[in-house]
Amino acid sequence: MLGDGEARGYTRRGISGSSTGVALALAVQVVITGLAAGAGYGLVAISYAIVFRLTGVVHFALGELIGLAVFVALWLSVGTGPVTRSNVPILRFIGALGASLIAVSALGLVAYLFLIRGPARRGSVLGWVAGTVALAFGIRGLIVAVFTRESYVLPDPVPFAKLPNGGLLDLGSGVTLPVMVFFVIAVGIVLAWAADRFLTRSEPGLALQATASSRTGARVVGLPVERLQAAAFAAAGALAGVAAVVQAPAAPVTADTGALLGLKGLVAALIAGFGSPWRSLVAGLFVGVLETTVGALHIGGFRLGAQYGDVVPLLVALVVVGVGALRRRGVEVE
Amino acid sequence: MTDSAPRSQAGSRVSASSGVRDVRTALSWGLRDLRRAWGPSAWASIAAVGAAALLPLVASAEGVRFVAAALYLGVAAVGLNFAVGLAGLPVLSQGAFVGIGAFGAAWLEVHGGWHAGPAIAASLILCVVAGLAVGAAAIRLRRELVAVATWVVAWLLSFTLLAFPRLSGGSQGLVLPDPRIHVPVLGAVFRLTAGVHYEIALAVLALGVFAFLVVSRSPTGLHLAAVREGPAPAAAVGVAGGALQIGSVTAAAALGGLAGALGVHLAGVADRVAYGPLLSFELFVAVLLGGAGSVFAPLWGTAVVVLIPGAVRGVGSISGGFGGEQYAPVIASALLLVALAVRSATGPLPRRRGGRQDGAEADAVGPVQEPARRVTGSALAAVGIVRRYGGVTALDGVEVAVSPGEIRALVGPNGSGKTTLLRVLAGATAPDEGWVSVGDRDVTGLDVRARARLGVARTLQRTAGFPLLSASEHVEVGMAVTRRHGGVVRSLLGTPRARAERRETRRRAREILRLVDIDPSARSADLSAGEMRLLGVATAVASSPRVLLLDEPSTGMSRPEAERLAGLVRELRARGAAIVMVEHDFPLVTALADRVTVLDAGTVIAEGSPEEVARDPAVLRAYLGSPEGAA
Repeated sequence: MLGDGEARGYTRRGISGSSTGVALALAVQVVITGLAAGAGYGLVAISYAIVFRLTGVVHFALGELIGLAVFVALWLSVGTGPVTRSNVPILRFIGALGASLIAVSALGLVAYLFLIRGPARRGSVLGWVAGTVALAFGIRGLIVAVFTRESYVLPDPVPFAKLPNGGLLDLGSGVTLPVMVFFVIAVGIVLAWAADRFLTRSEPGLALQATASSRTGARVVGLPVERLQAAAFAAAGALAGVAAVVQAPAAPVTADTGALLGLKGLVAALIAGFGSPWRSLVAGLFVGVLETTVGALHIGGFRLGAQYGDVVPLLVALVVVGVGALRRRGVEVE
Repeated sequence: MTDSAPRSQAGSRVSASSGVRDVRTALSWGLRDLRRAWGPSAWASIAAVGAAALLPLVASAEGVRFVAAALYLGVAAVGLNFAVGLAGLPVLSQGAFVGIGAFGAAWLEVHGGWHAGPAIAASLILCVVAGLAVGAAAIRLRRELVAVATWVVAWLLSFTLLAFPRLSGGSQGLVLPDPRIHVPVLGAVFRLTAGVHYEIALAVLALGVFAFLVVSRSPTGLHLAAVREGPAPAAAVGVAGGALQIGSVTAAAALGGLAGALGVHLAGVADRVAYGPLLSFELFVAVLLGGAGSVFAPLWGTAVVVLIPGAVRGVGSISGGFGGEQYAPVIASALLLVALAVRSATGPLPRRRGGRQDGAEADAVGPVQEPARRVTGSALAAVGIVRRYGGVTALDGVEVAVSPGEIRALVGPNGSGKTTLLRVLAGATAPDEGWVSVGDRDVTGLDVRARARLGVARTLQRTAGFPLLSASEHVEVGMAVTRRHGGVVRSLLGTPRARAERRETRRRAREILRLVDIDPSARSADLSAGEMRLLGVATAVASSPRVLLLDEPSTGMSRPEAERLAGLVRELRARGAAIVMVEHDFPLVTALADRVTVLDAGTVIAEGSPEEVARDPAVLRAYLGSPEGAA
């Protein structure tokens, strides 16, 4: 179900000898791969942070919405049949991606209006937690029901495979890295930068910031708080969806892809304290590198294995929460 | 408390020298309570459980197995209701607790060679420890973070089981040996057939529901509701919110673990896929669907969660061309979503069913004769208090000493530090320098709740209260610190003392509310702002404080309401309590206060009787800006 560390597909090939050159090349490969995964987590974390700070809601269905965006794109371009990286016309696929992002944003908006807004307004944490989690499992059920194969390959909107050497960068000693990972990292940084600029410089961004710091205050000065909150749900879904679509071609896509991306994004958001876009991105990169490093860690005979890459970040998140909880001792409201 | 009428009767009877008479008294009290509580609903419940116990006689083994599994799920849901319904904590890790119980027991039996009984017990202990840990973190987190953290815990168990095939048995799972329960003393051994499982599950479920019912109607349930509705005012009157919430999460984990440990024997194999985050989510939704907090909510919520996929599958197999059973989870989730959407449209999810209001109990109303707890020397003293906020010095070396039976007013211009001083006295704000003592005890390092336990009660400037509780329940919450016998265990057992104390608490709540003329059954929404403040003061007075701190009590009160307030405060003074009030209404101060302390810019500029202070030139300067402005 979950061992995507193996599935990511950048495995070592033909390693021989034990020179430090190989070790270094491997380390670079592990870190860069982690950064690429982490860029995705970071973008998801940014989405969580925006929604949380605007509405006080942790969007538990965000991961599944991302997964849905990927599968809707797949469905629009090739239906539910088999797909390879090259049998889909690129333009059609990109169009499908755009349509799926719009569809998912709309679904996020509808879910907010009918499922989340009511309890969130009343301050019923139980209510919106149930609503978002129910949405998550509903979407997941739908994906599993419609897409019955074990996994799918998503075409790559940017044809890296046509680059010389099949889009692989040789790090020496037979260790390679797909050029695509740099593209993914770059997209992550650019989107985080854009989100940061938008929030700190643009007028609607400042309105969002104002709403985040005081909903009452924002209402008093005449900001359309309701609309901003609804917009946050739609925009966050789209932002996270972009992250997924950029990252998805790297590995086979399963029904769990979205949930895992959502979970790790949530871990990153937790580590970043639902903070600014840059903080969220850095936390995401940290989680990504942590999981690939832990998965590949190899000290003498001691080896952890890829599954630890899934376990350790969650433990770190819980430790962060626990430390935060301990520091918050004897706090009284009012 | 010890001097109030019915309690002292009970006390003297029970502590009488004749042991036989003790037992007879206790029995007769218990019987009388039992007769009172025993109504048609009790008969109906017993009959329903008894009838349900006969199911294995008529149903097929497969059917019994299915229902038994559903009942175990119900046990986990009832357990979760302790955390979600009573404590209001969004715990999304109940499936993980079930999984820990299941894999703990299975692992010990498969790899450790343990018998089923001890293995179940050991895994239960493991779950209790996990519950304590989650609870201890949960009470320090905001509720939304509780949801996130427990969600991460649910995934963590799932990942861990995947990462360690030696623990989880890999994709085959841990196959349990033919389960037998050895009863050590009797030397008996019996097999856990589906029928036996069914009876065990039914019994555990009935006990779980009964325990929930009793706890939710006990003082413990009331205190949990208070902490849920208003953590700050609950702490201000000394409710041990943290301990109660940890307890409710632990109860959830224990029942979840028990359901898991027993259920895994029914399934015969511990399969990690069955204990994923989906299970946690299903249990959470099961509790919420029925309306968290009500006793039977988790039961029919579980029924819905169990039956919908089954029903959809059934329809699918009947209609043939329906498209197969893979749509079952989608349709189930869709139906759950619709149910939740309807619920979210119709009103608040957490709802508390108030305890029965027994009319007969209100009859014996006498005068309030509650002596304040022992006081020596000055009741409350603060020495050299300094408190800075960034560059601003809010309090700069303030000294105050209040005697027992004294009403002290704190006055001063806006921003002079009155409320900060009150917060320092209550323990809500730590001073940078100086110390605070209550009686002859240094309390500088104690927080609000610890001070409340020493008899320092406070009303808050905000008048939120506990929105879903009645006025009478507000006041009963105020008596939390004086409670002796109404703890969880005694409430569960329904001991005569606990019942007597509950009756006495209700009676006193009505008395106190009569003093301020508030209807005991009124909810916050029915009361005016002034009455809400009065209720806040009544709640604080109910704890029989030796020190009462009032923050602008008369704000928003009409004149008659202010007079009711004055009556209540004088009443408390007559019982020897020290009262400190921040108050702007100078006529009220003059009428009520024995002494007045005037603060300006964080220092005491005058202290004396209201008349002296009103003539003090420094005070006039502070208020009016110039000595000539005196009028």
